[in-house]
Amino acid sequence: MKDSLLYDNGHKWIVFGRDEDKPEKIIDTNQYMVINGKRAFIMDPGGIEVFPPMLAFVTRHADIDNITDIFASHQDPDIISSLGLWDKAIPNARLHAPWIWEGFIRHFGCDNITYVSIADEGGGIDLDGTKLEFIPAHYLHASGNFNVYDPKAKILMSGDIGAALESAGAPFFVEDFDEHTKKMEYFHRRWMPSNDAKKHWIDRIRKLDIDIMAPQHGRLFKGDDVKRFLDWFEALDVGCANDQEEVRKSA
Amino acid sequence: MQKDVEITTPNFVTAATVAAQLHQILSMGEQLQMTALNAAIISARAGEQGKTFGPLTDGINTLAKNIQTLVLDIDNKSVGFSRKSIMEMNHQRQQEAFNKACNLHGEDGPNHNKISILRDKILTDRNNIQQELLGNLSEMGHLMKEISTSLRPTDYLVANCRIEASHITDFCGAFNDVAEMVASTSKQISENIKKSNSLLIQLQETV
Ligand SMILES: [Fe+2]
Ligand SMILES: [Fe+2]
Repeated sequence: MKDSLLYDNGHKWIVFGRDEDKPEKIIDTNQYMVINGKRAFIMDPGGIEVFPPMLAFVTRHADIDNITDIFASHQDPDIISSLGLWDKAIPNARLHAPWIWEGFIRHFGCDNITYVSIADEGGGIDLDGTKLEFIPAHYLHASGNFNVYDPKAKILMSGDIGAALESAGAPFFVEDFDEHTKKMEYFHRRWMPSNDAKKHWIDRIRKLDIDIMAPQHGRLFKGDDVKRFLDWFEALDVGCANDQEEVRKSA
Repeated sequence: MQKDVEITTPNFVTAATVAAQLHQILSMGEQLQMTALNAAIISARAGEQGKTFGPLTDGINTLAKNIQTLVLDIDNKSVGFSRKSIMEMNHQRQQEAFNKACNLHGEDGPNHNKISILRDKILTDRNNIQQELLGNLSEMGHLMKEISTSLRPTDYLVANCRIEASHITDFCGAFNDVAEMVASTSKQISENIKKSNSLLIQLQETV
């Protein structure tokens, strides 16, 4: 696993990913952590397989007792199936996750950690002065789904939006946007179900000041690539599973 | 990265096999009850002479009911065992995850002590669960022994049935059939218990 510092000005953003030791058939994921003083917040901590390196790596940056909060953008196993293990490691922590998934996410094991439901309209967390916003991104792709926005660092953790299916060892940032769209297109057309939800989200996100857009899979977008992504996504027709032509292509 | 995994039957599967096997005893119990009913009908037809069969019929009925209760009791215990056994498997997985995290973090990592404490706690929890599993198995073993014990009077019941039958010429054959049925069902139950018991011992060794 690799880690990389994304932002360091009063508080820190760190990305963890590109785990070379993960089993081949498991999708590679990016995990994020914000540290502010004695509080650490992990976003989309990942699946069971990624837990050992995650625990080993996050605790190089933050004391284990300072990990007070975690976040799950939605209910997928690659997002939060490690919950049962975090539940042993940080029993006093809180999990912020969509209210609609509580009964589902608890199947991963949540005896000690407190489940804090995020309402459909969103919410936020105050890490001793560093305020992070939970931005609704419903139906992209899960029916209850949130991004995390940091207005000070100008970073948007966008969950599965902006995800790309990358080869192992790819750099953390997009270098050639047009080239990169090839790795995103099928994922967005197939995993994202609704053009209407997409439009909602784009309208909302265009109002935010974003330097880095950080998805849960693949590379991160920096500077103008964020705007490029929004334009590209806007023009993309999503929800293609029932299109026979598409089904044939993916078979 | 492909791992070579030796596939062994998980304990909760073996426990379910034991329970399923013992479940067959329930229908054997039903068989015994049918036999008791049959014996009661024959007794009634035998009139005054058949009255001596009353206690025998009751004996078979009680035996059947006792055995069925014991089997259902073992059934519950086996479900409890399976649940705990899955919990133990989870702990094993957790232990492996924390071990790996501990090694990756490194001995000179700032949280090495805290991660080792977590790992050790999971180990202790796992050991406790293993003790509970063993306790659970020994309870199942006791209940199985009770079934065997409750089968003991059948020899006497069968012998008695045969003696009484010899006194009533008209219904001798019918009562001998009853005796035969009880003897063979009881033998089937004993064999079932023997088989289940060897699986139980196997489980005790793998916990
Ligand atoms: Fe997902
Ligand atoms: Fe994902």
